Amino acid sequence: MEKYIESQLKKFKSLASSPEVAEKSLYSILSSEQKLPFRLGFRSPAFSGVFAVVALFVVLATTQFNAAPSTEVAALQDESLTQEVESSEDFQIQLEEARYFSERADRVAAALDQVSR
Amino acid sequence: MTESEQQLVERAQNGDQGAFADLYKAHHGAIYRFVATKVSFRHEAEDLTHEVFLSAWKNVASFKMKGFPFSSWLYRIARNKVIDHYRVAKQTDDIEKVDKQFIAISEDIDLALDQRTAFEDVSAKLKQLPADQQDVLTLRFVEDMEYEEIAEVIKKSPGNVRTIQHRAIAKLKKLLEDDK
Repeated sequence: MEKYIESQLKKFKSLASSPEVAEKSLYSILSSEQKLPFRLGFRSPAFSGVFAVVALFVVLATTQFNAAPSTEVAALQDESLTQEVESSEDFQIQLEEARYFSERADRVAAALDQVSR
Repeated sequence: MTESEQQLVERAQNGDQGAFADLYKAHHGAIYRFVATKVSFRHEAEDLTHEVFLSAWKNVASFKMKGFPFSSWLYRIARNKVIDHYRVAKQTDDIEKVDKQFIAISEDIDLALDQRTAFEDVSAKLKQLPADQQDVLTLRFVEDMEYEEIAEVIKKSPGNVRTIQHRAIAKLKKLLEDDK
């Protein structure tokens, strides 16, 4: 009986689909798109893309950090602003010059007043 | 897996249509036969075989080579497609089949009348076996596969495959004898 079963099963070997159907099927399959898995291998385009974005971010962040002014910007409070003004040498020099020109103008005016008398 | 088949698979994984076409031509016949032993009509076998290769083409990039033939993977897809086919067939009415040509699988085999009756009898009893038993008998006696390869397809050990084969033949024998 086992040999009989085997011999009957072996008859399936002669089964074949129609070549035309098989060809149409292949054509239809190849015209459909493949699913591409997301791979993050070192050679993959995805890895290169991610690497480029991270590298750009690091470069921009570093540039911005270095370009920031070295002097501290005072907070918008009166005391801080006053301290900043007082501690600024350039500002002090301009104030002294203004005071000098103001005093000199008074002296010149007094001298001219005396001369005119 | 042979070296040339491995190369074809790698090329297909990179989207090479010609490589996949070669794989299709190499395995289409076997997958069609495997599916045909499980269904009754030619159009069902053709449709399911098409679905197997469509799924293989779409997912070939995720196939991992583990030393077994590419066909093992195709047979596993085919098993799942057949299971899905019968699950859907149970749930839906067969209105779509009205336009189909109902050509029985057995009509595609050139047999004398008495031989045809015997073949159809064994074929019908084969379909009554559990899926694993059907698969083992088909892969072993139709495709002449080794136990190790069958084990890879059905995800059981080679020893288990031998046991399943023994039980399948015993059950098929009983079904045929009960019918007499």
